[in-house]
Amino acid sequence: MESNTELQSGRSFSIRWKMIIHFLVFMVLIIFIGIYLNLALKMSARFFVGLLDDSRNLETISRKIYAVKYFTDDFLTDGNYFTLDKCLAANTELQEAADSLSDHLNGTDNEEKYYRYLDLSMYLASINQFSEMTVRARRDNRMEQAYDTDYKMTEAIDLTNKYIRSLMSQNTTWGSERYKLITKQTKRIEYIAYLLALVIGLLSITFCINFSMGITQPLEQIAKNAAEIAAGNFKVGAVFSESNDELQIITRAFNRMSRNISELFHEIQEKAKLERQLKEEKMRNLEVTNLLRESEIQMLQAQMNPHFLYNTLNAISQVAILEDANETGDLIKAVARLLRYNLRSLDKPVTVQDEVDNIKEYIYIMGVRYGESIHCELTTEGNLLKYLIPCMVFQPLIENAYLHGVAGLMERKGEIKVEILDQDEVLHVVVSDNGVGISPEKMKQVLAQGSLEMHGSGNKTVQADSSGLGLVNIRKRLTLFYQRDDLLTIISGPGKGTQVELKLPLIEEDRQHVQFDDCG
Amino acid sequence: MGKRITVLLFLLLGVITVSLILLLNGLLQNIAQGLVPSTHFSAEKNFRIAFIYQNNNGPFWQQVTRGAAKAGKGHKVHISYFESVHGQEFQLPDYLRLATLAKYDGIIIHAEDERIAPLIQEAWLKRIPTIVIASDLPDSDRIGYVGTNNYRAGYVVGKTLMRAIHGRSTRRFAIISPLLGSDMQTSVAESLKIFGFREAISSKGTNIPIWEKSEPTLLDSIKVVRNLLDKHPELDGIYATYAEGTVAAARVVMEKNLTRRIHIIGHGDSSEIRWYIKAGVIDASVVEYPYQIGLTAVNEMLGYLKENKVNISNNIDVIILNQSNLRNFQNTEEPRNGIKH
Repeated sequence: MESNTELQSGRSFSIRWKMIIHFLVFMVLIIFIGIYLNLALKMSARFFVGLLDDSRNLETISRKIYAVKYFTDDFLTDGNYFTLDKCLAANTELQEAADSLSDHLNGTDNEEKYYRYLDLSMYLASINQFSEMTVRARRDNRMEQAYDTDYKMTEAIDLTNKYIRSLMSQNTTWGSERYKLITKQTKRIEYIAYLLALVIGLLSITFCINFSMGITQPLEQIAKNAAEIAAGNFKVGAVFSESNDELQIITRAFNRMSRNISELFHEIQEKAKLERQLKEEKMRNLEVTNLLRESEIQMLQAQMNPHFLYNTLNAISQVAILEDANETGDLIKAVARLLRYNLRSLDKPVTVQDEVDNIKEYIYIMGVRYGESIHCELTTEGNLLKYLIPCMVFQPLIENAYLHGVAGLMERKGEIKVEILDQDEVLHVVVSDNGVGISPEKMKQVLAQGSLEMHGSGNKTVQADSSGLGLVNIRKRLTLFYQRDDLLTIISGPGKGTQVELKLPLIEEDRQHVQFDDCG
Repeated sequence: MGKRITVLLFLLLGVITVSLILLLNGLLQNIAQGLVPSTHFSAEKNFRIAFIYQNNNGPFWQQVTRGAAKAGKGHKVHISYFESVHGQEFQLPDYLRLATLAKYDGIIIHAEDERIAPLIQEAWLKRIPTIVIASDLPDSDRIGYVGTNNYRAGYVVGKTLMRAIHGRSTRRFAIISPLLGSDMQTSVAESLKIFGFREAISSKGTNIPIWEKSEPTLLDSIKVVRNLLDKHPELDGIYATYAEGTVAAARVVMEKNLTRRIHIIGHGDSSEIRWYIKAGVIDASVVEYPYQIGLTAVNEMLGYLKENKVNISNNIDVIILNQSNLRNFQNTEEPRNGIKH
């Protein structure tokens, strides 16, 4: 739409009009040339006709003079009226001829010619005069006078005839002079007409070349571009047309189309690229998820084989003892027992005794590992050992104390105290250390119910050195087991150590109907 | 093609086309006017004068007509020139008759044939005045004469020749003069020259000069001079009254190696004659001034026609061209310091 108006508002000059105007103009010009040549020709012809007219005039006059002489002589001899009439008539004719001569005189630009003809008219007048005098004398019968004037007339006629002859040849001379002039001019006209024809020819050729190129060039270009686009190369240049006609419209439309095609193509390419990228990301994600799943599965698989591991460890400890590596055997046994305990399902409650036994093993192992750098003290009251608590509660606390509390301690010895006491009918468990403490942010994390993440560590899955249950996990399970939320408190500050306190209600062993969900 | 180039080319060719068409238009108009012309000249001239002469001495008469034309310029007069050539249909008298018939206002004629005197009378009876030039017909009805004083010219030549051979015991001269006119007569002018010459040498017992006549061509003149010298080798001087005769005499005398003895005085001025004068072959030459003749003739006629005044006798000075004044006279049209009459 926009393109239509922009073309029509400009100087649009359709092909049809161009051709029509071209033909008309050149036809008119060529006709001009024809007209000029024709006119020049006509003028040449007119000139010759003029020349012939001159001769004819003079011939006529000669004849008329002769008539006058003839009839005057006749009348002189016989004197009858019949002849007189003829004679007078002849005279009148001659006079008329003389008059017409003077008319002719006004139409010449040749001064000499003018005066020569003037003289001639005078001669004719004098002939007339003599003839009339003769006639009068004859009528009056003055014969001598008549003969005299007749003689004079004859003399004059002779001279006039000679004069006319000389005039005729003079006319030819004048005529050829004039003709030379005219020839010069007509030649000039001819040459100019040829020049004009040449120029018109050049003009025509220029126009034709321009016109045809205005059509063929854009078309060729369009064809080429179309072939390129069809072959798949969308990067074609614009087609150029300045001819202000339909071709220009087509060219512009074509250019726009190829531009659009090119742009669309690029858009599609971009989209395809993006899609590919997205796909790749998805694939990667899938892969990652797959890997994760695989590792989960592996991990599960790994978890499922711990019994094998436990039995193997026992076997190893036997072998160690057999080999007199008692310490090794004890260590391995401890690890086996720890492992076995860890394998218990988390939803079955255990006695405090069981837990304490477990952490004893843990402390023993840790002692081997850390040696003198960490010292752990365990204090219990005997009668508490029969109460029930959820399993795997103490170990993670101690684990934390080891791994996050004192493991990083460089400058002093790590001290961990575990107290399991009975206070006010509540099982009081305190695990304290002199380690690096927990920062407030981490405290918040830990205490937040919804978060299952331990500070600094990953998620609920595998940690480097832990059994995998975090404080949050413990809290949850305790809450589920005791139906109370205020059982775990942590007192800690950076560099001030950590103290984790549990206040658990006492639950006797025989209350076994209390079932709890597995937490964690 | 670049659009700009195209437009420029179109414009250029278009402009050329248009200008050519205009040019053609102009040319055609010219021609058209040429065929039906308006009289460029003013046909209203007051006087018509017939100028009749016999063209037996081309350059001479050329100058005469030029002088006549010059005199006619500026006045309302048209001069028709009638030139009679030996052997053609119209001779001098015919032209005179024609002029009379055509009722010219005035006639100027070269009267070297006495037989035109009655025709002059006829013209005078019809109130057409005639002025004769170059040679006179004093007994005719002419209103005036313009030309050289031929008698005097001959006389001066005679005196000069006498001076040149001063001291010689005998004085034998020859004259060679041309035959002019349709019937080969000696013209009045020639006769006057010879008459004057004779008078000049007649004293102190000089023999009558031998008078040879020749046709006015160089070849004939040479023949005649040769004959003359063969018959009369004792000549002291030759007077040639016309240019060809002068040259003929000079050549033959040189040929016969008689330059020291024979003195030649001639008529006419040409490079050849001047050469001979320089070489000493020719003593002197009488130069007429035909331009003056023509000029004066027309002026006189105009004077008569307008004011009825005319000088009956107008003698145009001549120059005796000899070695001493050769350089001073370079083909001027008017005589300077010539012989006053």
